[in-house]
Amino acid sequence: MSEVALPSASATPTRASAARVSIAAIAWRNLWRNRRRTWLMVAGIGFAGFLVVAINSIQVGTFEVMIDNTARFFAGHAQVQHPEYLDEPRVDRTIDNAAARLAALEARAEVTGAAPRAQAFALVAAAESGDDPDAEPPALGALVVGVDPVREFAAIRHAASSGTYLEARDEAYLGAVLAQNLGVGPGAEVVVVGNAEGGGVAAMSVTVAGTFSTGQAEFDRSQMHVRLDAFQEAFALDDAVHAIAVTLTDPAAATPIAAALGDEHSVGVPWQRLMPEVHQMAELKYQSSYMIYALLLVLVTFSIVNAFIMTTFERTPEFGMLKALGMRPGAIMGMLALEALWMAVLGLAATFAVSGLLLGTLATTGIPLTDSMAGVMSQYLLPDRLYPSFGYRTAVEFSIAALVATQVAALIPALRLRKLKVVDALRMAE
Amino acid sequence: MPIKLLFQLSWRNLWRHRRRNGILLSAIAVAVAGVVLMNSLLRGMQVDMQNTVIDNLTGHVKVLQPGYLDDPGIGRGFAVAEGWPGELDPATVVGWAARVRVPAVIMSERETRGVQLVGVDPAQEKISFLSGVSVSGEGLSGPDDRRVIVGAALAEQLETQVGRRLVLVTQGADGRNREAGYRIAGIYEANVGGLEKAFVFTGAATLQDMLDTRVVTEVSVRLTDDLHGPSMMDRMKSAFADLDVLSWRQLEPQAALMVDFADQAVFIYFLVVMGALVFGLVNTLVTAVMERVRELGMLRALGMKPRSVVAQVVVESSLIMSCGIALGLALAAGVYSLVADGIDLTAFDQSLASFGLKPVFVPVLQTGDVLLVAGMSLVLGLVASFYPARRAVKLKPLDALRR
Repeated sequence: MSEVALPSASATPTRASAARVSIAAIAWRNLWRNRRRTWLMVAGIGFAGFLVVAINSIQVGTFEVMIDNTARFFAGHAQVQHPEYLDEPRVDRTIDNAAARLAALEARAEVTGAAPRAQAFALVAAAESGDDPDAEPPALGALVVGVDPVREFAAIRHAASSGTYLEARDEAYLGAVLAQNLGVGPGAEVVVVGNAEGGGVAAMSVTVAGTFSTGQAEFDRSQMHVRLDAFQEAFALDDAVHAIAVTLTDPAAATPIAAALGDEHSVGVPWQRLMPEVHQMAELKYQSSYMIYALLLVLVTFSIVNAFIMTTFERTPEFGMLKALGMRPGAIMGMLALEALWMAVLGLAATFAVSGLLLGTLATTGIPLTDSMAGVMSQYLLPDRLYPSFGYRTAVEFSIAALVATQVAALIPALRLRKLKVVDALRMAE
Repeated sequence: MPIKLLFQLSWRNLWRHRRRNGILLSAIAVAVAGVVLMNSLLRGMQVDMQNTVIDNLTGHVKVLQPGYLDDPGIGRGFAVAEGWPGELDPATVVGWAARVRVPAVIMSERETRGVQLVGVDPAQEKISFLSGVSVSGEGLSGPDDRRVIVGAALAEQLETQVGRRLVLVTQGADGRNREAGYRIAGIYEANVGGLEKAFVFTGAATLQDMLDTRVVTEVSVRLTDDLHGPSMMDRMKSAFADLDVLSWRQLEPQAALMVDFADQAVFIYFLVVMGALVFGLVNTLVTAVMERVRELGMLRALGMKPRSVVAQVVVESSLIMSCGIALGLALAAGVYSLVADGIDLTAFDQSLASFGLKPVFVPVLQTGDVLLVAGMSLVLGLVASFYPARRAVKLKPLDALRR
């Protein structure tokens, strides 16, 4: 034990800081007296940290993409609506002055796109009576959406399975399953009958420009898009719309941005409320993962407590000697705390190095998925590879938790040192 | 060395460092309990998801006209085969139901919605969610009942109530639209979101009359166990030639994939959690060997075989692992008994409903999983003792004594 450098017990106040530095240095050297143990603990912390960061990064990567794709698919990152439209979408719950609102929205820096929409459930049917005048074509319920083909960003427009997207005023672009069930294709006439604003009958006659196939039954089976101006005329809406959907530069900030979009006649609704099932799914996954993180942290803490129990046990004679030479128990505990700190810092460095390297690579190459898995992913508008996105917040949270946990772990066995009897301790050295 | 002596020696060695081994024991117990409990949550989700899919008018096996799924309608109906079902083995089949299910537009005085109109024989519907719903008002009395029952959420949208009339529009067998008024017998509340808005039920014979047909659009069979699926499918394929006979896995591939994933997850949980444990375990075991170097050297010098030294380390590791597993399972059982009635996840209702999950979540503890975790943990204990045991064997008695 004689090779252990001792802090100067007679350190004068002016040299106090020098003494503190030397304790940190001693703590660092102490770590390497039992290399195997230190490496095992560093690896333990590093591995647990890596698992936490990896789980979170995969989730963040998946959900960021899922949320963005789902939003861009139709709903947008936020919508400006009538205050009660979200609770119950009635035809009369509109926002007016659409053109002025649109211009104001487009002038905002955080808004990258704005698309006005009006929509209503209506009966749609093929117009032609065919050869048999008695054969009534089937009438189906559909959500008819009036859109501005120039401004519309919904990814549905790129999913044409036949024909083209909307151009002319009296054209329609509808789900492929709906088109099939109606027995229509591009060029066919379709009539729409619904309830107009004010209780009248809304009727439209449109020509199918194209059909879309998104793989999402909800859209393919039940949506028909028409030009907004034609819709407004048929449903007697003037220049009112039901929603202006916007895309944002930073979807994560949708809630505060949306809050600023409303006025006395309208509200901004963020994607979290437009697509609650997607939001809740992400939250449920994030939150349930904390169970695993907590478990991993507890296990690592147990390991470190054990390592320090063994350390203090083996070094009892040394501590006895330090105490005999006048080192206060607090200083010895401080030294152990510094050892724990070094250990945690090394472990976390390993966490960040391994996670950064591995996840950084995977973030660009992606993790390939099995075919059946990819099939499910496409249901959620996800690509067939998983691209992890480094979960900074969780990495920092875990780091702080690990630093605290290692300090507590070192403290538990160190508390015994207060009761350490110098004579007994020295006697253990034989 | 006699086994008994070996165990005695290892057992006593464990008691030489109570604190350290106590903490290791706690760590193992927490890890084992953690894996078992997390797995029980996922199992619960798996069981719930599978039951919901099967309850949701799917059954384990279903017969449909080819093309019905893409274009549902009475035009894709079929007659229930002569001689079906014949004799069903009550040990494998819970029941079966023939239904008429068509897309329809439902109208109240105020609102219009698209729904699936399902004609059922209530006596047969013990196999679906319909038997478990709470109905305010009355349920359907039989296949000839001329009234409808609607979901609570739909009734709210339509601003209607029990006893009022609704108009349903759908396409008849001849391709013409039929329109008929129905009185609401009852309003049902389903415990999975979405169902209430999707399905409106009436008597099967009533709906057939309205559509001017005698056919049905689906025959669904519920089994006592998913295992009996293939034999039931064979049987139905011969009874309903030219029709599609589909399992719930084919009808709901997404749910099937999630259900299958739950079977793998126990291994993932185990690897993740035990990965964090194993460093502490090895550390403790190695230390236990290293601080006994002199003692082991002495034993070797006295004639103890290297084999016995290895055996001692392995038995020590296995003993502490076994105790940890026992403690962990007790802990898991304790926590499980607290949450066995269900965990309230109402805050995530809409997301859970999109997976067909109920807002109150009931974990499921399966004996097979518990045994698997216990077995894998024991194996892990053996593997973890490999490195310390090798260190112990490499000791030279003379060097060891000299230290």
